[in-house]
Amino acid sequence: MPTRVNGRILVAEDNKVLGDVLRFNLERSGFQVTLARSGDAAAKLLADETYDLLITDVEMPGMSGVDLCRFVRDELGNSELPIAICSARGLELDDQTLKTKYSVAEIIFKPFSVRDLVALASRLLSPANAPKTQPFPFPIAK
Amino acid sequence: MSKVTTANPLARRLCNQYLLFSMVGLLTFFAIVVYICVQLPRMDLVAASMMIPCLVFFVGSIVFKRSVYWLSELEGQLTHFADPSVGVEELKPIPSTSNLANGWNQLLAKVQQKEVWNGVERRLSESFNAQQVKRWEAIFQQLSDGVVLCDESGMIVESNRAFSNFVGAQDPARLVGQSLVDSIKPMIHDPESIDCVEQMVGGPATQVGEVRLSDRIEDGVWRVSMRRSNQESLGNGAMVWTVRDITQPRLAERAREQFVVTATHELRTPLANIRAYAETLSTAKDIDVEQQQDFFNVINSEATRLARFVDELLNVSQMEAGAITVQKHEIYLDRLMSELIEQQRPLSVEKSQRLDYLAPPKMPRIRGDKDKLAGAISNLVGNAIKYTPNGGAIKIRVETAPHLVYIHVEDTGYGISKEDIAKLGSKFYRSSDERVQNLSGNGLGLAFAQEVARLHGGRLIIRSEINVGSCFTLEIPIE
Repeated sequence: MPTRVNGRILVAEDNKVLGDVLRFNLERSGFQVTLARSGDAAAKLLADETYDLLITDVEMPGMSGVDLCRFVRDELGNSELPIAICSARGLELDDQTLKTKYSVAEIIFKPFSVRDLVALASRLLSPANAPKTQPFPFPIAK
Repeated sequence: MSKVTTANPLARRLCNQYLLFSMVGLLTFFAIVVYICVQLPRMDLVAASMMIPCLVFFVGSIVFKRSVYWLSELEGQLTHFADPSVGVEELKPIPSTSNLANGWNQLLAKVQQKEVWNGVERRLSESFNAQQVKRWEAIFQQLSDGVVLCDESGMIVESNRAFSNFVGAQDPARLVGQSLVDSIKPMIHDPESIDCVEQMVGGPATQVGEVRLSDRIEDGVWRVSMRRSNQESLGNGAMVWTVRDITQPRLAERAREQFVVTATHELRTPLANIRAYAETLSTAKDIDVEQQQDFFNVINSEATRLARFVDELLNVSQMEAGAITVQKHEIYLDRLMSELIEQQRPLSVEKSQRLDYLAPPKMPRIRGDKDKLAGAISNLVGNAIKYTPNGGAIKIRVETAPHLVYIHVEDTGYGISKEDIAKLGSKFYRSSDERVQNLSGNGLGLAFAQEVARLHGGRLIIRSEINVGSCFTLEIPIE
C-alpha cells in the first residue's frame, strides 16, 4: 500500500462502475475524491473548486478529456494542476501533443492497474512533486 | 504452271480458211476456163459457169464472216474497256462457241463475279466500321469513369458523359476547348487538390492522384489518373485522363477504421472494470461481505457485457462473410419480448426514461431463430434507449396481421436524417449527427437487425424525424 498522502482529486469518468472503484481505492489511500460523470460537470467543478489532481477519461459525453485539458490550461489558466489521463483509446490518441501542449503528467491505457493509479496519484501529490509556488528567497541553513 | 494451249489456234484457222477458199476459187477458175474453151458455141452454159465462182465466193464470204465476226466483237469490247471510266460490269459476253470467245466469256464472268463480291465486301466492311465506331462511342459514353482527352497544353479535346457529370456540365461537347483544370475547379473546394491536378498537367508521363472535393470525405473523393499518349492518332503529347469516384470505398474504409477504434474501446472498457474490481478484491481484504458481493456482481455483469460484444464481433465476421444462418424453432413471442424488455429496463431507468410495452392479448407463436431475433430486437431497444435523451419515452408495440407480426420500437430520441436512413443498414455506418457520434457504438446493430429480418423473410422498416423521434419496425412473417 502506498504511503498516505492527503489531497483533493477530481475524477472525471462517465463509466459509473469504473468511477466508483477508482473512488473506493483512492479514498482508502487517504485522498479526498470528487467524481464527475461528464466532461462538462468536471469543468464546472474545476471552475468552482480547487483540486490537487485531475484524473480524466478521454471519451465522455459533452466535453472530452482532451477538451478538459484545454479548458484547464487555456481557459482557467491553471498550469500547475497535475493531470493524468485514463484512456480506452489506442494509438489514435496523440499522447506527445497532450504531454507537451497540455503538460499531461501521465497517460495510462485501460485496462490499467488501480494499484498503479493510486501509486501515480501519490507520486503526483507527494510534496517532492508539489509545485513550488512560493520559493524561499534564500537557502535555509541547516 | 501448266502450259495453256488452244486446240485450234485462231491464226492457223484463219490461214486454213483463207487457203481453202483460195484453192477452191482457183480450181473453180481453172475449171471454168477449161469449160469455156470446150463450150464456146454455147453461151448459156458459159454464163452459168460464170455464176459458180460468184456463188462460191458468196458462200465463202458468209462462212468466213461467221468465223471471224466474234473477233470484231472482242475487239470492240476491249476497245471499249480501254476507257478507264468503263467498269467490268459494262462488258458483255460474246455470242460464239469458239474457244477464244468461250475463254473471254468465262474470264468476264469470273471477273464480274469477283467484282460483285468485292462490292459486297466493301459495303459490308463500310457498314461494319460504322457500327464499330458507334459501339465504341456508346461504350465511351456509358463508362462510369470520366475519360478526357486533352492536348499537350491541357485543353479538353474530347470527354465522355461521366466526366461532364463529374464537373456538373450538361453536355460533354461544351467542355471542348476548355482547360481541364478550369473545368474541374468549380467542383473542388480544397486548394491542395487543385494544386495536385495542376502539377499533374506539367508532370511526368504517368501519374495518379487523389482529389478531395472538400475537407469532408462525404462531399466526394476522386481518383484521377493521367497518361501521356505516345500514339500519333491522339495527337502529339496528348493526355488521357480518367476520373473515378472513390467516395464510397473511402467512406467504407473510414467506417472500418472507426469500427476498430470503437471495438478497441468496447473491449477495453469492460476489461478495465473487471481488472479494477478483481484487483481491489484481491488487495482490500478488510471490506465487508456485502460490498465484496457487489464487486463480484460488477465483475460478472462486465464479463457478460464483454461476452455479448464478442458475440457481436462474431456476428460481424459472419455478416462480412455472408455466412449468417438461422436455425428456426417455434418461439413464444410474448415470453421472448418480456425477457428482452426486462433485460433492457435498467438502462432506461438509469436515464429516467419511460419504457412502455404494448402487446395484443393473444400473441402469435412464430418460427424463427430465437437468439438472432433476440439480438435484433435488443439492438433496436438498446438503440432507442441510447439515442433518446434522459426523460424521454420508448414504446415497444407488437402488432399482428393475418400472416405477419410487426414489432415496433418507437422513441422520442434525436431522430435520423433521410440521408442517414438510406445508409443505416450498411455495416459500420453511424449517423453523422454529432449527438450520436459522441456516444459509443459500433454501427452494426441495425445492419444485424436488417440481416436477421431478411433471413426470416421479413424486413426492417425505418421511419424517423429529426428531433422528434424514430420508429423501427421489424416485420416477420408468421409461418
